[in-house]
Amino acid sequence: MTARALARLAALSLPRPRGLRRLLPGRFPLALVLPALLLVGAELSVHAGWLPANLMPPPSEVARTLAWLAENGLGVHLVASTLRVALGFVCGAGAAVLLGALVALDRRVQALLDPTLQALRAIPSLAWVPLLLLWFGIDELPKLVLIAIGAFFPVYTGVVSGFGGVDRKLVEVARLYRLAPLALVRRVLLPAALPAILTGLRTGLSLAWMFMVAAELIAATRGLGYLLSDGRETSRADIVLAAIVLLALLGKLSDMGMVALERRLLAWRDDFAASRAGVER
Amino acid sequence: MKRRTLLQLAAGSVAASALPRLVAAAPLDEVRLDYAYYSPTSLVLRRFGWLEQAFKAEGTNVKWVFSAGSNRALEYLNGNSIDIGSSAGLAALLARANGNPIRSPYIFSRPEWTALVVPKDSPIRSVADLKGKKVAATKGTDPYLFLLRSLQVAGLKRGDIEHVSLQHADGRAALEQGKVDAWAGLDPHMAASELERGSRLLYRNVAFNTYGFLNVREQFLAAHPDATARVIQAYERARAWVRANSTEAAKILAEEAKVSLPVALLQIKLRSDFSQPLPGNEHLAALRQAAPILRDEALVKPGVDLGRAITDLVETRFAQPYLVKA
Amino acid sequence: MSFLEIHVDEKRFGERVVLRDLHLALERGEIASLVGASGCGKSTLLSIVAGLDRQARARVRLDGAAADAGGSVEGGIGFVFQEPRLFPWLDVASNVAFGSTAGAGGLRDVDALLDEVGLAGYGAHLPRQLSGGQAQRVAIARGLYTRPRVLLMDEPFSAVDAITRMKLQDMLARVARERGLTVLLVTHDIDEAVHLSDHVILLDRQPGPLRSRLPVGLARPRARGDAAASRLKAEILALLDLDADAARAAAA
Repeated sequence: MTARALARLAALSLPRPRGLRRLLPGRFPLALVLPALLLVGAELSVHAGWLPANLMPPPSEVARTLAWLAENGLGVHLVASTLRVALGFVCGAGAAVLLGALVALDRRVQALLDPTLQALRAIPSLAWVPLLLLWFGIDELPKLVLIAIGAFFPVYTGVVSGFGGVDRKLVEVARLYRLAPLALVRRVLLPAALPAILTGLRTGLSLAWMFMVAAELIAATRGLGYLLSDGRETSRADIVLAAIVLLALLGKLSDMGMVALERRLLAWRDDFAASRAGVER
Repeated sequence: MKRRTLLQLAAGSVAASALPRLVAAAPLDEVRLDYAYYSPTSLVLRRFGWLEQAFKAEGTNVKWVFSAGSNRALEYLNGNSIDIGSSAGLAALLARANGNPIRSPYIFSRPEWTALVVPKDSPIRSVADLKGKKVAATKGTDPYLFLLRSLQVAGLKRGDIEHVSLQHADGRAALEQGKVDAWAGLDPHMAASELERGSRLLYRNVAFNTYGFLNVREQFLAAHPDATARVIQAYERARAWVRANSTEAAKILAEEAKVSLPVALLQIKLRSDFSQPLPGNEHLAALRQAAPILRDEALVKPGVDLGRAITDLVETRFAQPYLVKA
Repeated sequence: MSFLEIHVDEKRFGERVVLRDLHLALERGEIASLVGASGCGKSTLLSIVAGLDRQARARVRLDGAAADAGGSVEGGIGFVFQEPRLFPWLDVASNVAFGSTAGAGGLRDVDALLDEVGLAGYGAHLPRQLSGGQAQRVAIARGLYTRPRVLLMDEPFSAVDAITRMKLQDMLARVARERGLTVLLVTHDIDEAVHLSDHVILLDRQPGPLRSRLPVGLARPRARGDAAASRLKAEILALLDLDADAARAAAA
């Protein structure tokens, strides 16, 4: 039950297409077909003995574990992980917007910072871990820094390419009105770059979740990553899967929030996605 | 025509089942086992290549995988990455209770390999003082379970301390850098910390150490009993050698684990006992004594039959014919 | 002294000189079209007058004073591009009022302006909801918002269909008359030039002074396609052809 409810929640953000839906009984949303098939398939495979239970606990067991966790301190782990992501993301994305804007708008700053940042971007997340552990210890700081690093680069890229991709023709209009540099950024460049920036933010957020797990696998006392490694170390594959399900859920929820924000701020867009959603002309 | 083939088949299968099980069911390409700093015998075995010699005739390859702790060895066994792995007894029980399909036919040592460690100048005097403090321990290993049992003795629970999950070597580093207040240590890291940095053993309890179990994947044991037997024989050879040459064994440990000779000597001479390799009542009793902590701290799924898990895990007869009388 | 005086000493793109020793003067309330072969610098000239080009050596004087202030000052110079160039995230009213630093402050002004260009009630629409012709009307309204005395237009109607073009031309003529606007319009459409302008100014292909400045003496309101207009158009085309021949001869 729990698993199905979770899957249903996960499908809420997607638009409901017509057509194929008529083939399915009742009002069964298309988005749930794949998860439902996978869950049923997994359950049957384990009960029939095709998949060993110690490697793949059946969804029913994972659901039971989730229920048990909910009564035994799951809230603490959820809050810990979510707070880490939130804080790390805000710091990383904030720095990225600032630096990205500076790099995009000033050629000297670009020449100064961009090459270094691009090089740093190439470093994979796990490679940062030993260094951060060494410099910042094992408490919250290295985890937050790691998450901030993860969020930084997609947002930075989004901001730089967003500003760079603003239609020259619009900028010319702004020049007609002799807008001061700050007014130019605020009234023209920022709104025009917003689609790319929001895409960057969205990617940055999902990477923040990813880096959070990496951070918690190092040395944590609380959180979903801690739960994950807990399950790993005590041969509890059901806990591992439960943690993964929760991570997917939280990631999906936060993404849904970003999508809603995007829709709100970018309602003026006239592109393929808008036309598919049937926006009026 | 058909009936003749059927009869032949029937005759053949009867004959086959009557043959004593001397030969392996299928030829073995590779036997994969672990080596670890907490199992000096494994290091000796690997160093001298006795296992490779034993398997050369069949052309079976021997693959050695490093295990950083019971947790890793058990994980590799669970995922079928190794066939034979070394771990603490209680850790093996935890794994077995959670569905890891392993059996333990051999005890590679009786160590006092874990204790609670605090830094040299720590104000902490007793286990009860650990309340609210940060304690490093590798989950799923004997030190971690030792920690829980020690806390229980002092009237505390897992939630009363702040547990930081770090692998053994990292836990030592964290203790010495002052990032944690205490550490559930494991030899040789623990011995090294004592001798090199003056760390203090806050709490010792020999009875809380649950032996070194050599675990075998159930499937492997059933399919290749002869290969398993050969491994045990090789282990016996190494055990005899270690007992006769403890200083040399310490040298090998020091080289492999990159610790000083005094540290290695401390571990092997003072804190390891290699005299009882066959799992028996002594070990079963120790596990039964220790088992409740697994339930109390919710490390096993609710409703698991721990007694059954113990008997499923411990194999008390398999190794008997292969032991070296000493 | 004319109302709008433009002097370009030199404008070059890198090595290539586009304009040189060009003098152009418009009277108050005059509608003038600028025609010439492609690449002769019409749009460049317009940019210079609008103050968008800082590298050219030029002087522009409006009603005796230096015209340097830019498009947000009242009574200055307005500009309409070939494409509407509306800001897609702003609604029509905000786009029109973009020149005002206080945003869409005088909303009544905007409504009246939209009414004037034939888009009454469209204030809340978004640019993606507008047709090409409607968008260009908004662009014109935006150009008029700061009550300029001079309106510069760079092929403003070339991107719309023929029928819409005619409607927009008539709208422009009406608005210019009512406001007493001085208009300098760059166009490739000779019919349009003849229909709208008081003068048709031809720019030489080679950098240098104006080729010609032809008065269009036709009475307003003008009908399209009448004989006098056709004669004038033929004359202009002939001059442009000569221009082309001269260019080919020079190249040969």
